Amino acid sequence: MLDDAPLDMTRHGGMESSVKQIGKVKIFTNKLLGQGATAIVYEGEYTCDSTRVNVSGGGTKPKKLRVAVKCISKQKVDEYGPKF
Amino acid sequence: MLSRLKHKNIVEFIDHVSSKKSYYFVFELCKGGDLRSLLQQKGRLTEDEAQRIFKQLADALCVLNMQDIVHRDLKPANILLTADGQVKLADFGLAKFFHPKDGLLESKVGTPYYLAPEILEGSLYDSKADLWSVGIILF
Repeated sequence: MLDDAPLDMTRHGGMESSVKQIGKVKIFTNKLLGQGATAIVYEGEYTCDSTRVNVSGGGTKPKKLRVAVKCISKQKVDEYGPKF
Repeated sequence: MLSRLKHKNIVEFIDHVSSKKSYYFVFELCKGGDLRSLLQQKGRLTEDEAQRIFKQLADALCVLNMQDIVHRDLKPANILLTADGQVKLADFGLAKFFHPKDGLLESKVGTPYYLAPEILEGSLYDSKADLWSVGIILF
């Protein structure tokens, strides 16, 4: 199952420039997991709005999951998509 | 396609978002790396290890077959492993819905070493092409 352990930011050396936020997904672009002809896969963090976790002192916050994020440029999709 | 595939041996699709220039697909994180890296690291697997991985791969392929999906890029790099060694089939970038009554497939896609002969020859093919790739992986 998905690993929901707290994200260890120290592994990323505080390099804010290598963290990209797109919607609910934060991507650590310095943590490359794989690269293919059409896509690049990075490690990331996904904010799960539908599942909330309790925080100390009361209240809740969205659950965060460590995930793999596959990035495909729209240009590549336009280039290859219909041929598939 | 991936959103309708729920199985313990298929990587779980979570969500997708897009920016001005790119699409981002969010999947479960498999901390055990991929089978290609494992083979490079260990040289070769024991018969028991190979059997365990192959059985899980066959289970995943069975689910694809039931959903009329052809993966078309089965290879060790697309077989991910969780921290406890469970197999997760990934990378459905070349996958396609296929039903025999709609005609055979003809796109020449995949990774050369793992392609079925009919694809390499440029002939029409069906879901059995995936079975060939699995055989190569086992070998």
